[in-house]
Amino acid sequence: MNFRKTFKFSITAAALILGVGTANAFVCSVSDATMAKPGGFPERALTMIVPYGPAGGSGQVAAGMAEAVTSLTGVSINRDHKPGGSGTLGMAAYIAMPADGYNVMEHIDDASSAHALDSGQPNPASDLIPLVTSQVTFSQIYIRTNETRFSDWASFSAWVSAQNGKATIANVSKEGSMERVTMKFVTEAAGIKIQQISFDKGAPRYGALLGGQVDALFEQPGDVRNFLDSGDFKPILTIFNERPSVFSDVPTHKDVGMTFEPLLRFRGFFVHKNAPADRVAWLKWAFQRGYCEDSYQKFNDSKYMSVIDSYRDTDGSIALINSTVKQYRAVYKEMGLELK
Amino acid sequence: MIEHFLAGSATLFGDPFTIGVFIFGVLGGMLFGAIPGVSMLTLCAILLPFTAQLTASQGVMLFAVIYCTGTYGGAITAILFNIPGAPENAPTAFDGYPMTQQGKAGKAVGAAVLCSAIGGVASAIVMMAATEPLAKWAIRNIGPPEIFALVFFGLAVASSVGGKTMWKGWMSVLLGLLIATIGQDPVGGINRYNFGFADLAAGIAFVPSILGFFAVSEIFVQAEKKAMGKFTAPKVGLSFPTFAEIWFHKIAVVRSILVGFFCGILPGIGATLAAFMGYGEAVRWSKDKTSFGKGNIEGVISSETANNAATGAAMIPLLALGLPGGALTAMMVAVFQMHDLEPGPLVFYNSPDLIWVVFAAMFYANLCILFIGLLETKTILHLLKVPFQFLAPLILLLASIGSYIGRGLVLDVMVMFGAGIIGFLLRRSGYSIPGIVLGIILGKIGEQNFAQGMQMVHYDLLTYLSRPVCLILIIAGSLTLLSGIYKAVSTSLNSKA
Amino acid sequence: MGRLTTSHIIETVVWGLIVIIFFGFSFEFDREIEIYKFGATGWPRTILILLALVTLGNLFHLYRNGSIGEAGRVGQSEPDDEMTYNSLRDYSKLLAILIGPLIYAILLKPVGFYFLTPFFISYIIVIFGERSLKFILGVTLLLYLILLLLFMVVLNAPLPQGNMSPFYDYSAFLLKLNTQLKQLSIW
Repeated sequence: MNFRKTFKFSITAAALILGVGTANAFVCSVSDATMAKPGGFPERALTMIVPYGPAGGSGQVAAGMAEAVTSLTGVSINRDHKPGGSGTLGMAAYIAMPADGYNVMEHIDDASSAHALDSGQPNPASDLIPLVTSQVTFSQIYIRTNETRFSDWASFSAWVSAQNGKATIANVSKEGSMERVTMKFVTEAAGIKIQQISFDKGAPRYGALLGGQVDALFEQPGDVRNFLDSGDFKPILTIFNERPSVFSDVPTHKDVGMTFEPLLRFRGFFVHKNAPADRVAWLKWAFQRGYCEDSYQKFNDSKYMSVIDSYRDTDGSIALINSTVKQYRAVYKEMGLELK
Repeated sequence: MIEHFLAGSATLFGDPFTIGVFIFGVLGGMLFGAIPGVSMLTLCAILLPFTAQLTASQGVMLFAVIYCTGTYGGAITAILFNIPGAPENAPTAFDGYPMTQQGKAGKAVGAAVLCSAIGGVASAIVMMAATEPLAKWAIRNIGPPEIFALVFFGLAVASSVGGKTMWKGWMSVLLGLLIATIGQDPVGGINRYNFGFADLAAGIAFVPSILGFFAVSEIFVQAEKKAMGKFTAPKVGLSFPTFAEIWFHKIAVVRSILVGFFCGILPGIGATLAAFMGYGEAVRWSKDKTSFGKGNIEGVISSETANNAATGAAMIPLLALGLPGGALTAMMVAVFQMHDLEPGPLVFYNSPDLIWVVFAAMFYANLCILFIGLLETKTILHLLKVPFQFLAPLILLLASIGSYIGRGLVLDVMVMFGAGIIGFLLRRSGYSIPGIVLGIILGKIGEQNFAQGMQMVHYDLLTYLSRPVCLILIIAGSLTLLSGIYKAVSTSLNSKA
Repeated sequence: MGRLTTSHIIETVVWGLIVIIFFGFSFEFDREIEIYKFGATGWPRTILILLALVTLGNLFHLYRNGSIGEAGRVGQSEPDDEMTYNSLRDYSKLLAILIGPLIYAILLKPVGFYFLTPFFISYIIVIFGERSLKFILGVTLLLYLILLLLFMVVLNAPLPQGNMSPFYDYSAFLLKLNTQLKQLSIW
């Protein structure tokens, strides 16, 4: 199966949509520092559904954005974590909630891939209104810094080939997930066979590499920043179209001859499609301006989320989601998965 | 080490607000642990957003203190109402509740106070001395294959405790394991046994299961007695155990400290297995095995020493490696992250002050258990005098909130009441409710680590057994199972129909 | 039949049904996982096979020994008092005890915690045999206020608000009052 044939998109168009290119100095794109509350809305705390636990990437971005919006507007946000079903339960619970603008939701690219696999699942671009996408990041492959068997992508892939499928990589390998699909691209493009081992929680996944239980790790840089800063892990491959400046010495998948379009991890905030328009307008302002708050920018910096452009407004988010859904659909067809 | 500890103590007690946070943690942990139906997990889940207002060391310290005192506080409800405040208090109820029924609640709570403090202080001291070297050993030598072997051993021991026969013990554990398969499989994320209910994709969480099997089923039993005119208020016994009584069980205390510490240090296992294994080992080495489950104070001593001994140990993988050992330590990770910190090797270099404030606070929190615990115990025992028609709705509602808040799913409240009904029906049938609960708790961990372990050894059993820790634990678990099978079959054969 | 009784046979049939039903449903997710040899069904089916074997062992034990337990078993709680049910009224009482809370749980999603809880508190008090209207109303109000104060006012815990009108509106009203109360206390 050749996945290279799958992607007929214009690379340039895709690059624009996916925001390829390293981020420049931050400039807030929402000029209005304040906005009048429409008809007194909101007159009580907002509820934010978070379809993952409080300690993961979603929990943290929800906390960071809630803090920023509250400090900007004075409106409290109660986070209601509903983990399970790879984000589908939180989505279902959110859809069932009243569309009065008081209920908002955080979600990630899993919502797009879930819709791509099963069109019965809501399409976050058309069944909801994206308020803002506040984190966009790429994946990398990591090894231990003190590894003696290989030291870079070339020696790693040669070593993996010599193991006859016995080399291991820690990953989140849920069926159809961004991680699993990307690893499929990588192994097929590099012509290697590697045993993926699925760890659904971050800490055991990182511990497995640290303790030598696995040979490599697939992850996004913000999630392993402390291990990178401590010098325990080092990236050997960046799965992105160009080298971000902080990882300028790490080759991208394109540099090593792979041609597939990278799948990105992105996190954003949504409101019901049929929520009152004036309330939606205020929420868009609050969340897009919340992104500009110092506290949120500091948070994003700490997670390597300003390495590439993480910001998409409503239209940008819709374009990002639509292209992602299209991309996943094509991939799933190639993988032989049954699309509903 | 001593100078670091003194510096940590000075930081802790040098700032009035930090002292306030410490006292809040000590009292909050005890209170939420001791209020039937909710637990330290409920308190921490609720407090999590507020820790953003504290400094990193205050936030982490608060959760660490709640962890220590909440683990003790959960014993109180286990003893008084047969409602473990947390999974790690479940074995405490085996003997603690029968002691309450016999009018010896004071003795049981007193033993829990003393042994929680002993276990916790011993664990805190070892934690301070050994965090770095032990963490380095564990991260290299304990991986998914070893964790699965430990789960296997734990389940083999658990199946020998609680049921009327060995067969029923195994059936109970297997039922728990089966319930744990509901939800997504841990490798491919494929939905299993959702029976048309989308929410079941989230799986069956252990907190509502525990609350249902223990708290709700107990309320149902009391309601049934009330409805049938057989209700008698529990007896209040205020006599505390003497020091000599505890000294008599000194070997059990030392054994439980070792067992608790060993289990607590392993990522993903935490204090729950520690308590079950501490209890199981007490039974194994006792000369009067049949007295366990009927109000043997050694059951309370072993369980409570082991679970508090695990609290310090659980901080080792968390602080040194960023690997949480259970639900509460996982929430501590979130506290770190709220302050732009990641628990892990770097914390020792970048934030030594934070580490030693937390260590010192845990040490003092365990001491507080001793003093405040003894003072408040008599007050708490008076809970038994509150009319049950007042207490019952409060317990059920707090349990409902406690179940709901963990994942924000109404399904969990339904599961809790469903488990209550099953627990109510199974109580008289000789099946082991703790066995079911342990099956649910360890089922997911077991399957995930089995799958990861098999993938790592490429499905080769010899490679698996070439790992020394795996070999020892698999042999120990197999011997436990084989002796159980031999005993069960010979018992069945020796008696003729 | 050895020492088997009808209840032993029913007990075994129930376990057998659990095994058969769960094994049958396992075909719904009997899909290959590319990276894992045993797939999604390997673990649950192993448990089911073990459960079937142990159920047979239990049946054999019951056949030889009846309900007599195994000597030397540990960690077993003292059995509860046996209850005898003589009338339909007794059974309906039991049903009310077991089913009422489950209905509360089912209604939480559409109706919400805030509206439903006072009714549930009263229900439980009545189940426990209390008939004094003053006590029922007094305790209901007291407990409701304690819970609102602790979880809504102090802790801002996200409790189910319901998703049906007018129940959701009632929850929204209480939450709005809470916000106003806090704004007052700030000033």
